[in-house]
Amino acid sequence: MKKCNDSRQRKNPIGRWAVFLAAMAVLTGCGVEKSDGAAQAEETDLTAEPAAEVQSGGFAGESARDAQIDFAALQAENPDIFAWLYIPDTAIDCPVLQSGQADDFYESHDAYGEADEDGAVYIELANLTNMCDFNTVLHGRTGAEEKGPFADLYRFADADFFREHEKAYLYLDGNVLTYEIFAAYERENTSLLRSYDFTYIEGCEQFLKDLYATREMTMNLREGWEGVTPYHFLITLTTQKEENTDRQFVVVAIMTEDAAGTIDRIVAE
Amino acid sequence: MQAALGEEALTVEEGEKWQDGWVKYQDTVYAYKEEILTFLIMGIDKLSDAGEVTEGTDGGQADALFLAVLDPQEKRMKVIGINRNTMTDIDIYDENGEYVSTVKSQLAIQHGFGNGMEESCEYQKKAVENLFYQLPIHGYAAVNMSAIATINDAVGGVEVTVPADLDGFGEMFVEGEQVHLLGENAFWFVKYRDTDVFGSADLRLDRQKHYLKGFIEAAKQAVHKDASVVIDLYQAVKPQMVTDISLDEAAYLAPILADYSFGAEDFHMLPGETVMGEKFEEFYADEDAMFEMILDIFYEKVQ
Repeated sequence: MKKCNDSRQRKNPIGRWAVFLAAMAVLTGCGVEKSDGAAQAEETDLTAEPAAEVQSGGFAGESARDAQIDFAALQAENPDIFAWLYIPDTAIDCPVLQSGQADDFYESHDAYGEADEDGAVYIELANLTNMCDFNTVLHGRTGAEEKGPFADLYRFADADFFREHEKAYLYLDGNVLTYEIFAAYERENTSLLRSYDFTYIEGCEQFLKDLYATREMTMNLREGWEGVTPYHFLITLTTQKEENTDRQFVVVAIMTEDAAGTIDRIVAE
Repeated sequence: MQAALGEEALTVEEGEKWQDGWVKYQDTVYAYKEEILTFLIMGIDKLSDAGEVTEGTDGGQADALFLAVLDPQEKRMKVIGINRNTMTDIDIYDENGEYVSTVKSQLAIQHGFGNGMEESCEYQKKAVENLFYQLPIHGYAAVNMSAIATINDAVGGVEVTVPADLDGFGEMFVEGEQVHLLGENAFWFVKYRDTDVFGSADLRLDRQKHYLKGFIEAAKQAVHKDASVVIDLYQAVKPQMVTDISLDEAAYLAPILADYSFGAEDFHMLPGETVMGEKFEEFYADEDAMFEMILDIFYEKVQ
């Protein structure tokens, strides 16, 4: 039995003890196949990731377009940085943070911790920074002038862009995780982490059931990913438009590659 | 699939980039017709005036459900009949009005979980919006079945062709006969349902469809003759109706609608199939056909 290797101490353990007390199903290995078995996750060749549009001027001059992230330098700027998110062909190439002060601190502060109405990409305290949760919810603002860190998320509303862009990469210190984006849709602007208890299998199943039952004309769902289960590892990227705060736009992706093999967890029945 | 609207249609080049709300279906991109107005018309299973009741399950079921779709660009009205037994997400509330859970159940019961007034209507509207893939509904009118005779007679009665015999009514409703409905006859024609007969909700919905066609024709003629009929009708029905459409709005809309076209091809039924559930009939929408119907009625092609 392998426990999730939490290199960063959990800041909010409430409710998590149940994970260790309940009857367990153990996860081994993180590579998954599409339900049709036709498209097994490719081996991630980090160095081969396109570098054609390398741009400087991102946070601390850093970018994942060259498949290199210097975490020592990033954490010297701000120790709340624990990951770097990169989605090819979008402007999303940025650090991911978690504040110990308040869940929504980076809603109104940039990645340096300076006040900024566009904020930064962040996760809440209920999620682990080691990415071992069933569903890690990444928040980012679109911004009034659509200059926020997740403004480009809306590109996945475009059926063609969605079809042609499958990958998202999350760099951790000593690891890189590859995700396949399989759903993009609008939902009620409610907190996913408060609507579903992802620490239990039931909460994970309910989220998946609701996702597949979503009745949205504009929903994009990738064929072959109808069989996602609570034993997978998801990220949900979420944002809202300033003019329509009743709805949130979410892009959901499933981990298909864990380069260092550190992603694991025990699923509570 | 409906043809795009010629010169008014958007083009991908003009749009430059993907626009909010565009839908791609079978290699064609569609845009929602923003100018469309959609109203939910509910017939509530109550024989008294509209009044507030305890929250929970006493708000009355929405036995008749129609969407009236007004397209100002085409000056055309379309109506979608929705089977009361359509299985969809229903929000369950307790007697204190607290949300309990969401279950799959018959669409008509959602209204009952409110207070029988605006709250019930809002619940029902939300359930229909969700069934129709978050379609915006701009207004609603919930009319107690007891008001049918009043409404019917206000427009001078309604001509219908009886689609199928109604047992128990003698020679009054014989299949294929043309009948001019007045007073209580209109009520029974619209309301009657023999729950011992499988598919009775479908049969009744078919009669309601015939009735609505006849009513719209009669109402158009009545408004053309005297536009104030709308005000009289609104006032007469008000005690038995809950609506978020004001008298001013109704009076404004009626003469405009009187000039809208509405033909046999403008009446659509939610496509699907009725099966027998454990206790009650269940209607399952044909999701693909429904999606195409929504695109056909509410969207236009982006060229």
